[in-house]
Amino acid sequence: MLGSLNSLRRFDWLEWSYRLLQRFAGHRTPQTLPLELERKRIYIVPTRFGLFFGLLLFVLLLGGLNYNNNMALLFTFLLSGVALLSPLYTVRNLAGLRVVQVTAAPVFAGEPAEFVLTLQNPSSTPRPSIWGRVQTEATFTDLPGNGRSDVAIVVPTQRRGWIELPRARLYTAYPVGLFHAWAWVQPPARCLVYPRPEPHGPGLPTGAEAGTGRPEHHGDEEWAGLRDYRPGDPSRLIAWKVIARTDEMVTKTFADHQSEELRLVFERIELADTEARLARLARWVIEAHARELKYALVMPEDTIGPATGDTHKHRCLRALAEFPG
Amino acid sequence: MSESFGRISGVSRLPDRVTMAWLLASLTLAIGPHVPRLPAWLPLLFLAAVAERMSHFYFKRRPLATWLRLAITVVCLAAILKYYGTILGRQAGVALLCAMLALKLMETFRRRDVYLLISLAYFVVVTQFLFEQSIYMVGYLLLAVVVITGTLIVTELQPSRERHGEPGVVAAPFWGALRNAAWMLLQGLPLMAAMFLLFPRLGTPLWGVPEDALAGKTGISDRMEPGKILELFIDDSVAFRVEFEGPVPDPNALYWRGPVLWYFNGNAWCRDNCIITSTRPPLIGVRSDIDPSRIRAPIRYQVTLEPTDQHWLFALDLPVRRTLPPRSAIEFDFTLHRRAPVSQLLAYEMISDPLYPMDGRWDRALISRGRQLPAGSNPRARELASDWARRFGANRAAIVQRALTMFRNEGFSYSFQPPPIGIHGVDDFLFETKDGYCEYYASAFTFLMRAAGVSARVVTGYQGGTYNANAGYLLVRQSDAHAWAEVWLDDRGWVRVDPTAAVAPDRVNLGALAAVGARRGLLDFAWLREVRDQFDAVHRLWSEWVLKFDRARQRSLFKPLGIEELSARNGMLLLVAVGTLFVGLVMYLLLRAQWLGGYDPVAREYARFCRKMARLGIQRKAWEGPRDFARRAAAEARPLAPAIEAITDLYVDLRYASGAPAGALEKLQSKVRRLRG
Repeated sequence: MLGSLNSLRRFDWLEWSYRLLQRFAGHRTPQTLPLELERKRIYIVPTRFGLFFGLLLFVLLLGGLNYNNNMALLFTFLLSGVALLSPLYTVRNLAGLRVVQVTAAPVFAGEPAEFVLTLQNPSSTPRPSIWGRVQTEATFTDLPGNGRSDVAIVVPTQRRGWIELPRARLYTAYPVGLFHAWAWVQPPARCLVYPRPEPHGPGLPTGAEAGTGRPEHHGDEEWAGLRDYRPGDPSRLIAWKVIARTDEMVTKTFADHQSEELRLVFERIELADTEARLARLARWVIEAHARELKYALVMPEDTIGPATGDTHKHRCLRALAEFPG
Repeated sequence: MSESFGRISGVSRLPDRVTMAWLLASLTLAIGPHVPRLPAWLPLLFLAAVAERMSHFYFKRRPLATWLRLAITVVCLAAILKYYGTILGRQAGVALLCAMLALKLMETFRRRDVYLLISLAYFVVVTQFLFEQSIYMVGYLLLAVVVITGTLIVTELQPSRERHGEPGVVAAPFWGALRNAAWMLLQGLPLMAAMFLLFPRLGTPLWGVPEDALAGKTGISDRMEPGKILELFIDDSVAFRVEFEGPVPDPNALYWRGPVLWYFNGNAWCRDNCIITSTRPPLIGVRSDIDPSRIRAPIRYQVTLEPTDQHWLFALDLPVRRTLPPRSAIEFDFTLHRRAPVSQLLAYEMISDPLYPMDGRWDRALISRGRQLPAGSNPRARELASDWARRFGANRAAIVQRALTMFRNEGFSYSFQPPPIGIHGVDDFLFETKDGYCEYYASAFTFLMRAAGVSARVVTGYQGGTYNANAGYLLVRQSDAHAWAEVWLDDRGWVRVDPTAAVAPDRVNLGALAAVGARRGLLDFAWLREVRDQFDAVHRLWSEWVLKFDRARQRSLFKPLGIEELSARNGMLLLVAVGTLFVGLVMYLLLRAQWLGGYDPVAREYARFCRKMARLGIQRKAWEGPRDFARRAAAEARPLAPAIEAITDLYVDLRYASGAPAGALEKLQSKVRRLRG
């Protein structure tokens, strides 16, 4: 019994079923949000354990019939009844489920992208153990009756740029694990993949090299007044005293000195490979942001900044990610 | 706050506490009823495995080393082989399964192992039914299915539990799983019934019943050794049940004839000789000379025999029916023999005639066989017998009477706790202990007759029975087992003589228990026995309607509807049809929301309203808004106009207005329901 289970393990039955049924699934019309998992689009096959269980039932049936042992037959038939009804429960756990929203935070190349699908349970029956996956890594969630929850589709990334959410599976084996029901979902969603920052390399360019000096905020800096707080403003620029007085979020500003600005220039990097240049720029952007410097990214056709803050960082990284070539 | 979803990396592959607790409950439920049948060390092994498992959770102990587990496995196998002498057969097979369960439990590290254990548990549960099929087992069956299926559910929810922390948010770990499992089981019951009735049964088995299928069952066999099978007399289990067509004969006429024993080896009486231990004794000859014209007082009845794993059927003295159950025969000495052992409940029609004479050709040919005695045994009894032979000469009836007088008048008593007897058992009994039960008397009497030159033989079987007036059948228990003798008298043929009746007339009139005036156990009271006898009627219904169900009954299932015979093919077709219908019904119940306008109750009500209107011939067009539709519908169905307007108002309020009044939905529902359509 142990042996047969082991040999079943080597052959991935579910993977085989996906491939087989994918062939029959054909081309679907593009899916749009909110997306409902219609009953017609739910596929179901027995799990490996389900197949084994079927074999067990067959053996029990044969034994019961042979000895005309009616109690054994009653037991076998009762189990068969439960096993026959269980796929209905499994399908019900998935059918009618709605994908109402998909979000994907940008990631660096090499990190897995996570498309977070917000699921909505339109029925009052809880739907436990709903799983989502594309390849190896799966995530799961439990939906309370009429409630919402998320499941993430994890997609590995290699290259920078935009990636589309590939055809993913939402699946469940609830309640008894004998059957595996799934639906292919592919709502329109994409995730931005930033270039992978180079692991190590030269530090941020100095003024001489990059035409900038490190912006120093000493007493000799020219006071330029207050402005409204914007998310991402460095905390040391926030006018805490004013805030305490007026309850308004304000930020101190200083006059910009062109000469003191950090400029990260694509064309000045002496590397032949575009990707390597982008990788270095990505590292610099992250470093500059971490040191709360004001910096500008100078690309061949575009200059971003100078500015500070999260938004700025993401704008810069996005420009790097979308850089053609 | 952590992520709103769970990751596989955060889920352990080891079964958690809840899974383990359920699994242990399942395994205990599977093994529990087997415990009395297993060697004592096996349940201990199981407990040790449970303790070992628990120590993982409570002391974070590491699992046993692989070599150690392997060593335990080998030792277990050897122990089972030693205990049973085989690993095949029913008993050894069950022991092996239980050992496998315990051993596998020690190495349950992954979900796959949990599934394997659950499968094993289901399997072990089924093996119970090889031993016991009483109606009580139904409760056990249902409980086992619910708990083991609950374990599956609990296993499935383990990731959710680990994410939310126990107890899970979505499904309460205990009652939730139990309720779900019970609900699934309830829905499975109709399917079970359909499959039970319609799934084609086998007429003949594909392979044989294991040799030891009913080992350990007490019952009448073709070997009688006084003092060896006392447990029979305290065994309350049912031997068979009898329904008479006419009135029930007097208790003292209820001699249920079993195997006739011809051969005495000094200790034991056997049918042919005491050497052959094969389960299929040789058939000496088959009686085919029953002369219908000599039948004077036929009694017709039906016997339902419990499984015995023996080849003997029982019938009232003397069976004279010429058509017998398949593969059975009335042998030369009116023993009912069946070629296959009775391994399951067996019902047969029978005709008996207590007055039918046993003096035919067969009987005359066998007179000399009835004088066999082993040389040198029981010298004192032989001496006494030859003394009688000298005194009465050829008057065999007088010799019989002399023996009975001796039993009656010379201090013999009837009891279930006779003193032990030695090698010369008959001598010891006749001259020393003078105390015993039917086997002692039948054995001693037959010995004396043979020694005195009278042909005699021992007949084993049952005597008496309890009549259940409410249910109209006679119940014969193992404790009604009895042994008597038959002697050959030249003018009458073989004649029944019951020496026990000479000592204890109550044995024959009131039963063995009344004869010794003893109770069999602490709880053995007359009224309790009465209650039990009445309850036996329930058991009988169970075996009548469920256990006896076989291919023959399946074929005549629809006889009342005029269908003479249900073929296997038609049965299967019917089963598929019924099954599809039922699964379809459950599917409708579970997934109907999908068909009936989604999960939104308001939309669903409105869809129902539209269906009702459509039935009246007023179809809502795809482009029609609710208001437009209402206007048109009200115009077409004047009398319904107020209801249509009210429903539409409510729907529009619920759908489009913010903050619809409380109870509006209920109102909509009731209005739609009351709308005739």
